[in-house]
Amino acid sequence: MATVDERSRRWLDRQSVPSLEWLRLVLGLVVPTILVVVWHLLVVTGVFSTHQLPEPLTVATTLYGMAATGELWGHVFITLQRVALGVLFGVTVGIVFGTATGLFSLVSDLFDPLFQSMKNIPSLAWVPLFLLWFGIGEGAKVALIALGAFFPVYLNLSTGIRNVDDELREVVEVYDVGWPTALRNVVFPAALPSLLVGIRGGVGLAWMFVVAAELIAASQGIGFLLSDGRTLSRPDIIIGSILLFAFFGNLSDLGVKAIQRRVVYW
Amino acid sequence: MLDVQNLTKRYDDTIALTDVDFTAAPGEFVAVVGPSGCGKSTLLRVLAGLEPDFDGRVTVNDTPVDDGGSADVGVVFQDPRLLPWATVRENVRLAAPDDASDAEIDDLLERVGLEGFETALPGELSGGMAQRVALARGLAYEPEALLLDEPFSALDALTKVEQQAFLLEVWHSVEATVVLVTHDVEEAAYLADRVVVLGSQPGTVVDRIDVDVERPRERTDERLLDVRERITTALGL
Ligand SMILES: Nc1ncnc2c1ncn2[C@@H]1O[C@H](COP(=O)(O)OP(=O)(O)O)[C@@H](O)[C@H]1O
Ligand SMILES: [Mg+2]
Repeated sequence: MATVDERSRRWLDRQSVPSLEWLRLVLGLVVPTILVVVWHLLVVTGVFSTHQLPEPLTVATTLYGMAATGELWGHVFITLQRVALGVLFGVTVGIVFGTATGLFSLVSDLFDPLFQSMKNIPSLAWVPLFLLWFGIGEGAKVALIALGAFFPVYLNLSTGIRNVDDELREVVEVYDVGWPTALRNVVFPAALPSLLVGIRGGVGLAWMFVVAAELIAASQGIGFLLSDGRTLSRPDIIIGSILLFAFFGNLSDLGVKAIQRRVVYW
Repeated sequence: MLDVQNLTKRYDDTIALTDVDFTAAPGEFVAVVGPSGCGKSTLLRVLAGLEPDFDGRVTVNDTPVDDGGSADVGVVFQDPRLLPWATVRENVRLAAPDDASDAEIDDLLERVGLEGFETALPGELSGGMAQRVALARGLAYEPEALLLDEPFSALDALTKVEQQAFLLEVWHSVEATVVLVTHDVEEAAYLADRVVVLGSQPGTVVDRIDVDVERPRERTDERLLDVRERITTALGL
């Protein structure tokens, strides 16, 4: 019994998936491509000197060279590992506190003001303290990234749980749904979209925090490459590192988005 | 047995209901009719125990609703209020006893004409089908009294007639008390044993009409037309 809406939606889906989606993807590449061409022209015509801004091709060659010698992979791997561990811890703690504060107003009254006031502290401000506490080892960096990933998860999940639709709460009340069932079947699913929005934000912040950590206290990692490029006056390495961050940042965001679509299936 | 005595319900400055007296005997089908805003939904919410503050005495089987009496009352809200992430079957299971089997729930779904949609998600259903899931959920609760808030108002005329017939069938088979809120005069007269007419501003009972017409009824029965006439007069239309 398909309604008109359903039928037209299915029709649209069939039509738009191959052609329109591809067209939009290609359109999105137009401006970046122009920028690269303009960049190339500006350097070749001497508007920028090559030790400030290298040619696009130089950047590519540098990255390729580092990849070929294997030097690049160590940096990439350690950065990915830090982000992954930081996200894992940050999201876990965020889920614990988000759930507790969302469900119990007493816990919320105790912790929420603290977290709310902490969330606006810039990432760089934490670095010296974390170095002092955790030393310059991996612990300090992972802890810093976890802190970054924690806040969006905590904030979104907490409000997501607290803002479960009143209408659904009344259904739970009228039909005497028990606590465990209500949590599992109503409250948590209702808060799931918020949780995923939080995780997306958390992964984004994890990338910001890993740069902060690696710029200041690392001997390996993409962030270290970045600062090393400045020390060595190698703009190609700096720009290459930025592009690496862009690539992996986008990749992780696409990954979380794909999970989001699967988990929030309704 | 539902019993409402001297019910007055205020929302801040608005008086939604004043001095409402209302009873429904076990197994009785009572329709509550009134213009929109006269407090029909409010009356159901009080009976369902969803409104903690009110004046008067409201009991279900002699237990006050604010003292656990509403436990035996099921509500089908004006909108279906289904869980969008749960299948039709899981939505119904939410209200069913813990030991209810899939087969029992599917049986209920078959009765509301949703055979084959057990694993569909609410987003895939039409409005009328979603409302029937809500009805099945209300029945799964096995309530003493089932309160229905304008369940058919969003349906087209044909589906409405179908659903009314279905509701009567269900009512006969489960022997529950039914309170049906509606603003459809024809519907009230055709379905109910008794019609309670609410007037507005502030909402209060303006007439009670017994519908002494044996079932099954003909929609065109003269006596039903008389009942409709009387409801319309009471409403001041
Ligand atoms: N939660 C509320 N807060 C304030 N006023 C309300 C609330 N619910 C209902 N009312 C008011 O109470 C009156 C009766 O509402 P309601 O019971 O929904 O009427 P009906 O269902 O007959 O259309 C209306 O004037 C409405 O504005
Ligand atoms: Mg209403």
